[in-house]
Amino acid sequence: MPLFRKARSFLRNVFFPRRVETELDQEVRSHLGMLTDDNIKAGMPPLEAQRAARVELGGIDQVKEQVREVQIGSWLQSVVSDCRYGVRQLRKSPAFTIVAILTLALGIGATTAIFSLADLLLDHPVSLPHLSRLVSVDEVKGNGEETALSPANFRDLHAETTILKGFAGYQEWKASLLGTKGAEQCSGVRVSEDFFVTLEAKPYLGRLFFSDEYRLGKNGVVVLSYGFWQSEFGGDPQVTDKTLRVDEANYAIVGVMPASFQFPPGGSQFWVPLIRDDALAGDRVHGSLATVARLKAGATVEQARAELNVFWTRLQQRYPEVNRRWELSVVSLRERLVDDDSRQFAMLFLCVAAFVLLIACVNVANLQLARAASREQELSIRAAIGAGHARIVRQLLTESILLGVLGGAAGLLLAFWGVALLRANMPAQVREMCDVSGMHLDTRAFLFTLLSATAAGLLSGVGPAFRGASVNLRDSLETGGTRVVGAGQRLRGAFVIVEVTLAVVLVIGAGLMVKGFYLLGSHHTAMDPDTLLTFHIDLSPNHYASRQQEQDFYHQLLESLRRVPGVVSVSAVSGLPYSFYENDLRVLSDASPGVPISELPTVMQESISEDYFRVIRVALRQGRFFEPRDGAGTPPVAIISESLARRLWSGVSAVGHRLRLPDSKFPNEWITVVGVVANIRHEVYDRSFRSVLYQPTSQVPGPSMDFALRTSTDPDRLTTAVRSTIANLDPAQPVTVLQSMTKKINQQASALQFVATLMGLFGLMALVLSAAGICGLIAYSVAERRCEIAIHMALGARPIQVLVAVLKVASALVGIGGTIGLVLGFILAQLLSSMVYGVRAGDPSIYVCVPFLLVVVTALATFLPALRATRIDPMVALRHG
Amino acid sequence: MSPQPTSLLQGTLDLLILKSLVTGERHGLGISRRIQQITGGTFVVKPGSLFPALHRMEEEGWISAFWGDSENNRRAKYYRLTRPGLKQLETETKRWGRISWAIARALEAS
Repeated sequence: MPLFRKARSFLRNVFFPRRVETELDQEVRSHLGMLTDDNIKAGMPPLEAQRAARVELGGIDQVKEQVREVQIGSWLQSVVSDCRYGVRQLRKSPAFTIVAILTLALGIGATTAIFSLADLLLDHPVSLPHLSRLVSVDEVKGNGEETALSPANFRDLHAETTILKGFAGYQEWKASLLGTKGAEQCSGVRVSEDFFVTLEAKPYLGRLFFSDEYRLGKNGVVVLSYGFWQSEFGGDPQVTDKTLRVDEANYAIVGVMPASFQFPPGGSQFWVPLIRDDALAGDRVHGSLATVARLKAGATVEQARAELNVFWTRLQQRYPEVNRRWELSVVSLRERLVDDDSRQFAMLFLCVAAFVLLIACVNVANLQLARAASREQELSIRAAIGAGHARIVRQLLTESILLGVLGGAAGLLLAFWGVALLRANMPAQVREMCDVSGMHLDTRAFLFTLLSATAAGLLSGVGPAFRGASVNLRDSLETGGTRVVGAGQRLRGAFVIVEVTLAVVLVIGAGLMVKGFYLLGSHHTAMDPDTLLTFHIDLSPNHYASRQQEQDFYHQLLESLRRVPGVVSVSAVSGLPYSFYENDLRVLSDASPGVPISELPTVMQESISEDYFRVIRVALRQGRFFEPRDGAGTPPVAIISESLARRLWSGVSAVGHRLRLPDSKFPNEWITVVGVVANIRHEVYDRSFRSVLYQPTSQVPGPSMDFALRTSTDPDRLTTAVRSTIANLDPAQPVTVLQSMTKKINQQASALQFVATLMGLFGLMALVLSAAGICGLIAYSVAERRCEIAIHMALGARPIQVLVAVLKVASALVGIGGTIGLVLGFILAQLLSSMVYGVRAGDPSIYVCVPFLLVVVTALATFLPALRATRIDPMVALRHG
Repeated sequence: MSPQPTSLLQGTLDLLILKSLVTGERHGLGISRRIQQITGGTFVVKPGSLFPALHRMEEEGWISAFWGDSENNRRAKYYRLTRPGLKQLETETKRWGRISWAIARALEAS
């Protein structure tokens, strides 16, 4: 019963506030009337009776307010009225409101966009249902380098496990595809039987594979990715009647996956069954299968690890010669997909974005403080008509949160745009490990925005609200709103110091990163990459049965490319710089014959055609280049890089010395060094020069080759000519990564460029926001000190003196903030330099440039308000206060 | 000599208001005067405390309100005790008895 009553009261209070109010008013007034009546009866004159009654009552509005506070639902009422009042107040000062909302929007938008990025990297690198239940099982060697599972081990583990609901293996497959645009390299995936079931994937069109399609001898079937279906077949709904020709075999298209399905990430175009071939399944040596498995309901990763390790120990005992040195790794798929570096970067950017948000909050807090000061009279009046201290704090906080929410809404728009921008510019390295198309503003991001908006509002409002509420009623009403100069100035000054400190830290970080990026870039101009065209050819063993056939093809290709107009010279190499080529072999020199094999230094071996060094412009230091006489029948020769020469024969000339490669096909063959060439950079992120051993292709041929063409024109203009030259020789042969060397380098550096650009953007935002903060503070303090300045001027101060006085205030604050920021920035830079290659924490130019920048920004931000100070007319200012 | 008005103990106000309504319905001023009378002038309830208490108790359902005419023919809001109010008065009275007994005992202890 009481509950029913309460509900009724609540509804009445909330929905009929006017009736409740009128009744309350009538009640209090009748009370006052009765008091007056009593006083008159007691013999007072009417006027005095009324006065005494008022004194006894204690103020009609105060009593009413006290009643309102205990009414059920009064909080809701007052929140609504606070909001309404808040909106009115914000509309009254549009300049303040717009600046505050934009500032918060910038901070919140940036933070939300970065949150989406971090969310992608840390939480859902791929969009699969119940991702947290998926694990990856791999074989790991002692040094922790992860590798895939061998087919035989996979088969045995698969047969025994009970804790996994599905356990699938897959192999990425670089194949050549005969498509609409001629021969092309494409990326497919061979998947084992449980693959789609484990990932809980359903086709968008058609069907998935039948069980017997995983057997040898069945006709090939293929399921297309949504993107590939769109680009290659134009989204044709009848596609399931067609076939796909891959690596010279026909595959019947049976289905299309939905756009959201992208696994493994990195742009897989189609999936085919992994044939349960007995020969392949018997392979226990080569780790060729990546795996994905789903935990049974209730099972944890630890339990799965424990169970699989029991079976693994058995496999180790049964096959000690192959499995002994390998450990089994069972980690969640989420952990497996994203590397530690990316995780670190995500955290870094989250911190940086939080910095910007914090600066934005401080800025808005400062704006509100200044505004609260000018609203003192309004607040006093509110206090006079019965608003309690708590009520005023709440009112001011409501306004702040309102600002935060409005800023959040605007920020969300910015974040939408920011996420689209991030997605479009995501570096290739990130694209390969996670499904970037899965990055969007989801519910979590919305919640995050809401939370950060409210927090931003509160954070920027707490200080000002408590200051605002502690106004002295009589003082401020009597002085008519003009205040004691300096009150609140200190808090605002502190805010500016904080802001400048944060901005300086960010700008230092950004500066170091951008500088590091450009330094890295400048390392790579030695080979004149602007006039180098490169591509890669991988000859299929089905087509070229013998080494001789391969070499003939390469020879013919070099000859025909040389005749293409615009091409100056041509050469082939097993791996060009910036193509992630690795081929490490141990080397034994004639200077140290007794060294045990496990302690031998390693070198990177490259096979090159004759003109290689001339084409990529590497200088000869000693000896000679390869010549036509270095053929298959002549004694083996090599050219080595300076760094290798120093390592093997320090102090003496390497030419004429001999070495052996124990890991190669001819481990006992002595190779004579005929030349030494200059060091070159191989990868953007290399920290030192590699030790390289070059051998002629005529002596050490390889099935796949990179080509470099020195051109006399823009290399991009020659791509069609190059394509048709190759197609003339072999129409079925795909060409990959046909691009200029500049583009190759930029692509490899794209991750760093991305990081540097983002960092630079945040640095800029921080700078602009703090400039706005300084500008606001100075403008306000000039307005506040009008009278003082006017008196100075009336007493003969020249404008320049006024200008200097105003500038002094700003420079003191910026000086303090800047110094703290420089020290903090230097400390944090150490952290950054350990994270990002190329960043040198102690780079002196940054620590000179940042203070200079700060002085310029301060001067710009202070100049306008300071100028306004000099234009104050003493007569006007002193007359009107 | 009239005793100095004492500030009301937390919780006692409700008890006093309920008690003042036992003898019949009253308006705000009536309740205030009645409390002053039955406590021998020890407690004077200011409107700033009285009205919030009345509204709270009405929402609790202990008293109900209606509009009527006062002795001087003014429209006034009258309050009367409800059945839950009467029960509340009983429990409050018992509680108060226990407290005052306990306090008295504590003060007599040597």
